[in-house]
Amino acid sequence: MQKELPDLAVLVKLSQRGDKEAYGKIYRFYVERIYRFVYYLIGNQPVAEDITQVTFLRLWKNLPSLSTHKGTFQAYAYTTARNLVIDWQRKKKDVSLDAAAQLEEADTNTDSLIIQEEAKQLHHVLASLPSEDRQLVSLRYFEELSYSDIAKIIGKNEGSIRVKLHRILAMLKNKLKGKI
Amino acid sequence: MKITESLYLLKKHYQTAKPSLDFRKHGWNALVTELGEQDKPTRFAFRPGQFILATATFVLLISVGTVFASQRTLPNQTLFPVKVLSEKIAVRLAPASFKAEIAAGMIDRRLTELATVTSAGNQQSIEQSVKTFKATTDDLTKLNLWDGWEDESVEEHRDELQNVVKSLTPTPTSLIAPSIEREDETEEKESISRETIDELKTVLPATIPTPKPTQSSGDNREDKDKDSSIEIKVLEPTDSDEE
Repeated sequence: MQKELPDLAVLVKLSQRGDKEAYGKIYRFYVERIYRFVYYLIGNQPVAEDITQVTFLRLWKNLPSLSTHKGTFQAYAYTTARNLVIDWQRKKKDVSLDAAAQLEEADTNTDSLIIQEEAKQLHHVLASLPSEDRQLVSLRYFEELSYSDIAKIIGKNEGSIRVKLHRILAMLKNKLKGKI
Repeated sequence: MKITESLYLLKKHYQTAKPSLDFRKHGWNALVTELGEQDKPTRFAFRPGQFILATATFVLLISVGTVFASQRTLPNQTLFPVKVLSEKIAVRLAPASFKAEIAAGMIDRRLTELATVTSAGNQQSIEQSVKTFKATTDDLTKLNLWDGWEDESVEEHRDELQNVVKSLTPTPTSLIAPSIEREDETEEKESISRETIDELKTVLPATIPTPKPTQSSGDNREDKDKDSSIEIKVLEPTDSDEE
């Protein structure tokens, strides 16, 4: 699991009272996570940056209605980002594979070429999945969020999220077997 | 290689995705500038849907409250027109079988109001009450509440209502004859003839206290009142009546 921001509840409470410094701490902790999540889904750096900024603006605006309960802010941040991505995708109507290409270019020194190739294949398979399935994979395996948080973000119950992820993994296995 | 291992490997790639250097350096400052243009978040920030719902609820509560408060008003009071309007709406929206009952209730309320304002002795209120009475009966007559009724169960209501309306014809405008029919003649405005009192007795409750003279009138006016106005006295049953 990824480390949590210490005293998040206190920072959210302070932000709700208009403390921008406290909100700055929250921003710095989550900005890259939200950016990665958005970028993975749309594959366009400037747009991903814009969506990330708008996400934090919306969060600030809606802070009063947020509970300070642990996990609520994180789930709400991803939900806001997800909704903005969905809006953008509706307007754009096509999902770019730039993200896959850029991810493939990165970090070429650490892994062997064979593993690189397998990861590349997997990424192509992932890129061909429906948007919601990719969101699930990203939130569970890349962002390492809990099932309950993912359920809140996607708006389904925890059980169905587990089942869906299990099916996605099985499908990825089958597709990779055919490719490699 | 297991799928989870591939995903773990992919995660390492995933985590290398970073925003531009410019965004990392100036992202927060740009956001703070935009936050500065917005007000501090408020606890009662409504979303559009919530705002519409809250407004609708508020308007509904105010309307219901006003109609409820108006039910005890008398002619010449601020909320009295609301009472009359709510009755008009009620009698129009009610199912056919309830219309007569509501209409009878309206007439009953007008009579009660007339009795109350008469006992209070405010001439303006009495005039207003009589006008409202006439307006109500006219309005109910226009509605033809008994048209098309064949059901025997509603026959009683129909007859009852017809009788009430007939008994009020001519309507009480003539009861306070000089004040209504000759409004321009101010000297006679506040007078009530003996005939009208007799007629009133047939319509209003038997005991009508004496109306108080109007305070706004001058000394000379009091002399005139003595001559022209008739005192309404409380009728006490006499021996002859009992017989």
